[in-house]
Amino acid sequence: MKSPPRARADPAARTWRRIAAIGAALAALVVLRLFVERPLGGAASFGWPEEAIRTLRMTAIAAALSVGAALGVAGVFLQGLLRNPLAEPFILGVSGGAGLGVTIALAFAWAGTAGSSIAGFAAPEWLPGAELVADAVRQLGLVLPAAIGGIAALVAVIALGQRRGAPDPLALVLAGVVVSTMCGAVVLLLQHLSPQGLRSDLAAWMIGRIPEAVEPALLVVVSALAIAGVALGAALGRSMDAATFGDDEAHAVGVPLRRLRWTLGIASGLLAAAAVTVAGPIAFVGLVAPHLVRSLAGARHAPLVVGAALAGGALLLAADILRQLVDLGGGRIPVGIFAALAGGPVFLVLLRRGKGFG
Amino acid sequence: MTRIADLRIASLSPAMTDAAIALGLGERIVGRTPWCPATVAEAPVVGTLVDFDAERLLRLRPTHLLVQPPRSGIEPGLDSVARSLGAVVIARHLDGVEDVRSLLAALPGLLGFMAPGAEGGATETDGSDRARLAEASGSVLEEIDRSIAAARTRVAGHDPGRVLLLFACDPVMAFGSGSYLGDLLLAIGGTNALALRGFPELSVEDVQRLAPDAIVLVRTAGAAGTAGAAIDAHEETLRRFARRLDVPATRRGRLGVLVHPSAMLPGPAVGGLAAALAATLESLERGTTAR
Repeated sequence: MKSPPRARADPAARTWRRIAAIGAALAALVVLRLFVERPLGGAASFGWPEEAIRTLRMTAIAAALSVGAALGVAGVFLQGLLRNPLAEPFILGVSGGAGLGVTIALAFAWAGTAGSSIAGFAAPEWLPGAELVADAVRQLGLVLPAAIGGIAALVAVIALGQRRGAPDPLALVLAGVVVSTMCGAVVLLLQHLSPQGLRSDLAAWMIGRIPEAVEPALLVVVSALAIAGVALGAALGRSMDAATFGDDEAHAVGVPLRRLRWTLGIASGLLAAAAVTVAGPIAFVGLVAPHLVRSLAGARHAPLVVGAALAGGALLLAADILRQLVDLGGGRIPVGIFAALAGGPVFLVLLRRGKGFG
Repeated sequence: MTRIADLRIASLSPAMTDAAIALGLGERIVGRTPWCPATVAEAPVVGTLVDFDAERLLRLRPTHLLVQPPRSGIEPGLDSVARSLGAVVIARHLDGVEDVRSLLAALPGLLGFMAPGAEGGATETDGSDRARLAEASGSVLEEIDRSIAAARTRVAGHDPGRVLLLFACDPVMAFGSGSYLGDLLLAIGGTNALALRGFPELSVEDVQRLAPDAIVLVRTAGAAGTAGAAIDAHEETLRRFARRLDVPATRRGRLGVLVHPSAMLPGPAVGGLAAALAATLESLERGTTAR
């Protein structure tokens, strides 16, 4: 007697189950980050931390989750917008612009407070207003210059990357490369002219980090943007799905392509700017998170954006846990290095498997 | 015959430029780095150890090149420039107080002014120039020793406990053992809260675990940088950082800022830096920053 045919698994349910699995992995990483520790020069252990340390770890966890989610969502938006699987949030020049903003602010602050010179020219002759900027940096840290630089670069890229009044995928990529390169060149020039102390300040910011101490208001803003990004991605999921097949197909099913591109361009830029403001430029998370989720749960954008937010947080949290555990004898290794070291091979594996490119 | 007037010194190390100036050889410096003291500003910039201008060096025809080489040694390109010039390369590691003392003691000999009977002293030198350099070297060393001894006495009177010396708060970068400032702290009788060597990056959590009795943020600056406004700015940075900590240093308000033009420059200013560090540690007792 023939057994009755098994009901085919609901693909949507299967997708969401896999997204839930990513969420479970993220929860496990949160627990690990909260409880695991390895003092410099000591052995790793697992235990409930004292209050002062718990507070630092909770802040780091919140920062990693919000920044990782922002980068993951921005990656999905950009890969959809540009129809380019290699697109990542910093392709829009946000990282370069933020780096330039921070470099200029540090140079002003250095000249304004240290009374030292940049290229032999002492402030304030060379840098009018240096003391004012120094005061602002002292009060607000590097959040404002990073945000201003990142958003200014984004505006420039979007302005340059239009064709017939709408963001054009190819023009956006080219404009992003040009703006990033120019910002990078000015950063290099300023670094070249900078004395040792300032140079090390700049280099430290450029590596990227997960702060254990950050203004709560800033974390709230980044978290709110990441959540809004997920909601936006879920709402635009069907339109983004249609847009992946090409302009004609998208128009045929009534997708307002121009509005969609404007929305995705601005949203991804704001998310990347928010992330870089908190953590500096962190490579690969925005590239790898969407591909990881595609390889596990498919390419439909509504679940993809949720999964990428979770995966982005998980990747960054994993990098931060490695920072706590790996002790090569020279102090803590910056998270940005782990993100790049781990992200590169993961991306290569995905590439070799030929999956994750929806 | 070697005479001071014949010396043409190109320095690719601000610290070694300082040492030459301290021995009264500032006028003999014909090439410098962009970061050398203003007293040699008239000499053209020949670059740094990793980015030197070979053509300018060749034009300046230095007799001596002063460099602080990395552990991997001098770049072959610089070595070949020196050989084609027939210039003597004076390469010294300046990692601690003793390295500075040793450089100041040896520099006259390295420049060719050997004491009679000293090893390699066969080079004929002008006796009066030799005596002048020896006297300058002795006097600078004496001043350094006197300042460090005075700083020791000062610190001994106000034991600051385990001190964490930072040079950046975000990310947290510290002076470990074996670093110039770490070594100077030991030399004046202080205790470094950090046992790690070099300039490690720490997490805020690491600082919490180290539980230092005092935290001093050390920044370098030009002459104007030691002004009150600059110190205020760095104090604010340190306070913002320390807000998240619950350690003896924050509970007792033992947070200090040391802004010094030669904070990162292991050279003859080490005596002044020792005095400034001792004053900063002493001021922690009073809850004010030494200015």
